[in-house]
Amino acid sequence: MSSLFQNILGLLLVYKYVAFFLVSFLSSLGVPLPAGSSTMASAAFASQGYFNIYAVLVTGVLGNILGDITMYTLSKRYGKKVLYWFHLKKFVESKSLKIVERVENNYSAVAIIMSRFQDQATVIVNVFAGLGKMKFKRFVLYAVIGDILQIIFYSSIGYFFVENWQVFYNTVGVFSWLIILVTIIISVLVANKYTKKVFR
Amino acid sequence: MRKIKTKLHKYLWKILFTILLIIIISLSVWFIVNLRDLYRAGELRPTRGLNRNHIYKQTASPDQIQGWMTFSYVNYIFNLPPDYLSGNLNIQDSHYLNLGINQYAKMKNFNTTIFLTNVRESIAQYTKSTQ
Repeated sequence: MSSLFQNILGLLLVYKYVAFFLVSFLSSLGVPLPAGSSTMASAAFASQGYFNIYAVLVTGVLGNILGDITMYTLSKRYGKKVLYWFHLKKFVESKSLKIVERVENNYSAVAIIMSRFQDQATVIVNVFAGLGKMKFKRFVLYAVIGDILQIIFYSSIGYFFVENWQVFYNTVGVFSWLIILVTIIISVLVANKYTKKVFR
Repeated sequence: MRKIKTKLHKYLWKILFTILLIIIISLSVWFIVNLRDLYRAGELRPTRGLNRNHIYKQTASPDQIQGWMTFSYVNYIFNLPPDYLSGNLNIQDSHYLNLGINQYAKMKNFNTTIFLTNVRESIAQYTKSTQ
């Protein structure tokens, strides 16, 4: 277990729902915090009676949704300006970026809901949704659905497996990094093929 | 040479896709086997059912105490009197309940492993005395 996560667990035990809300919120903004693992831990504490499970569910969903909306809004308003400031004009005006935005808009439900289950994917999808000016209502609808499913998924593991949630943390933690790698490879392959099809 | 390169390029995506598929299948098999072994070792059994009162296992062992746990949490899990650990371990800090075990040990320049062991032994003594 990393020292960062141990510190977060200590903060969860002291500050409870405030700490859990902040972890969920900041994780959605791109801060590298273990939101899924914190959800499992909080639900395990709720199963032991130290937390209230309903408060955990509501706090987790609220934190995630507010973080997603904040990231989307910031990306929509300032995303391209920030990229220009970093001299990334070529990237902003590139056809590849426009294709990614188009694909995300066409498959918004799948992209947004599935990405909620992985912290880094959440941030990436939120940023592209903002950059691509996806409709706010559509984004919020799918983000809420995805966040509720994600919180229920991780909370269930913590709540029903209680002391064994740390075993899940160790097992899923290793596997999720492998999944990220495979997902990146697939995304690159699909995007490359899509680019060739559109620009033939 | 050009023909070979063109053919290779033509089949490149298929080759890459096949390799990717093999990697994904191997990872999935490894993950499932890993979960199965953990389940057989008893480490992935649920400890409570859908009914909130249905708990499969209710015993907490002092060996499960870890350094990140706060004294308040440990007191709650093991049903300890509020002053038990402070008396047994000579803890003077009045705010110790909201401190983690490792955090307190570092504050007092104790060896964290030894202090954690002392905490576990104190709790083991208490649980034995109350049985």
